[in-house]
Amino acid sequence: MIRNEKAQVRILEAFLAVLLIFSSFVVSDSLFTSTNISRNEGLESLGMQALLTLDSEGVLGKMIEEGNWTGIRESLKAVLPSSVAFNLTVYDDSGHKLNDAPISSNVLEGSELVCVEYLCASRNPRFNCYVLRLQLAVIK
Amino acid sequence: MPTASIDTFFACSLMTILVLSAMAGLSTTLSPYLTCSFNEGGKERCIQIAKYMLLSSGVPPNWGENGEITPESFGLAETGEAEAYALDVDKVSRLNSENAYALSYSELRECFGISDVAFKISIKPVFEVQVNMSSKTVAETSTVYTFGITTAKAGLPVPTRVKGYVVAEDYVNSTQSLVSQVGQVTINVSIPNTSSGQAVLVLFARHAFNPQISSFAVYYFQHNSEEPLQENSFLRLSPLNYTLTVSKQVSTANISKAYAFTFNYWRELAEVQNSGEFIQYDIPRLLDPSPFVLVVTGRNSTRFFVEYVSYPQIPLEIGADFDSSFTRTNLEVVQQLVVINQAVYEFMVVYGAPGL
Repeated sequence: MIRNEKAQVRILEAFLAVLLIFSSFVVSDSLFTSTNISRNEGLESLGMQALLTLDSEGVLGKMIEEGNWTGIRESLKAVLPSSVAFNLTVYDDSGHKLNDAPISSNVLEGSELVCVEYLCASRNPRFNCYVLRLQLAVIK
Repeated sequence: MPTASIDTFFACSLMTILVLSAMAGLSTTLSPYLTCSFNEGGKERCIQIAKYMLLSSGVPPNWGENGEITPESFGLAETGEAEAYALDVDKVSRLNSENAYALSYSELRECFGISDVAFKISIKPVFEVQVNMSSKTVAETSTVYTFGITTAKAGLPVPTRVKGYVVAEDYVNSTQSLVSQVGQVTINVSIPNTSSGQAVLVLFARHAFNPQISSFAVYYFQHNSEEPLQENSFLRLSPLNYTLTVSKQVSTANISKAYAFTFNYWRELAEVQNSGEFIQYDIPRLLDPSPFVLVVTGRNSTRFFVEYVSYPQIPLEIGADFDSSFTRTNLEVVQQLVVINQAVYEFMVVYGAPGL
């Protein structure tokens, strides 16, 4: 058998080079994979529609007048997807904050927020108006 | 190893590292611009398509009521002076493949007029109701069943008010309306021992703070019988235009009674037509923000059976199957809240196309 040491080294080099290139492909695959999920664009529409739905039979205005903040929070929890965090603040027509208890689901810090403003009118004869500011974010 | 080999190896490594870092740098720099211009257009288009589905009544506008009509243009909205995102109960029911008058996905695509995007529509209640039988106590004249009810959304408890109806052979009864603040409640149901065979518990759950948010579940069980359960196998129930059409799947099946249940009310249905092959019942227009559950009882030889359908016929899914898709497709999801017969449901449409 002819022992050509130079050829053996070349084969070893080629093997290492192939190994290196393939490993770089494997590494780069995970490096360049980006998740293509951007749900924030629909959040504004979802938030507005949630408030519209809750207000359709005057339930939202009634709950504000009764100070039923738990009811508003639980209703929002039911209609919004569980992956969406929210924080609602209720103001009267002079801009004073009305809700003395937080109307929120999860912590919104660190998430990209979307803000929806909604004007809610009560159905009683006094016709009170309230401004609702709903902040929404997708839980990461 | 000779010096030349080490040189070659290091040169290869250096080249690979350089190429990789250049690719990573370029990708990081350009990706925000690429995703913005590419995805926003696609996303916006998907939102507009969903809005069109939900805000347009279609052509002809009453295509839902008549099972013979295939719409020229697709739209699910209620006709007349309905509020935005209020859907027609019949148009929704015709999306369910179990309905005899259902549209197929190909018909849907054709009348919708969009050929470059595949889609899947699903409509379901905003929260789930789970029923489990926890115990059964046989007394002299009746048997008491205890059911554990859980109301939850994605595993999180939903405070609700729960009401149930039990239907067995020659027996219909309602339970008390119970409040479940932590999403769990127990209901006791008593059925006389004179009846036997299949029985169902029809359960409605309504959000504790908003009656429009409601859901339902139907639980099958055997009463005084050891025979295996056979769910919805003797009849095909198709509600449309406030008429329930019952067609026999088994020629030996005999239908005895039909009922409509909502959260607050229940009625026995009046038969309006009987042609032997199918029977039609009139569904009363009960003013209750709740889905209807229509129950039909009958016998197959000596065996008593109960079958049901909901009206609107949900939960439903129609469209392309993206889960088993082998092709590389970009997906976009649009979720909306919709109102059907004053009750709120979750509408979701998933779009798939390479260019989205």
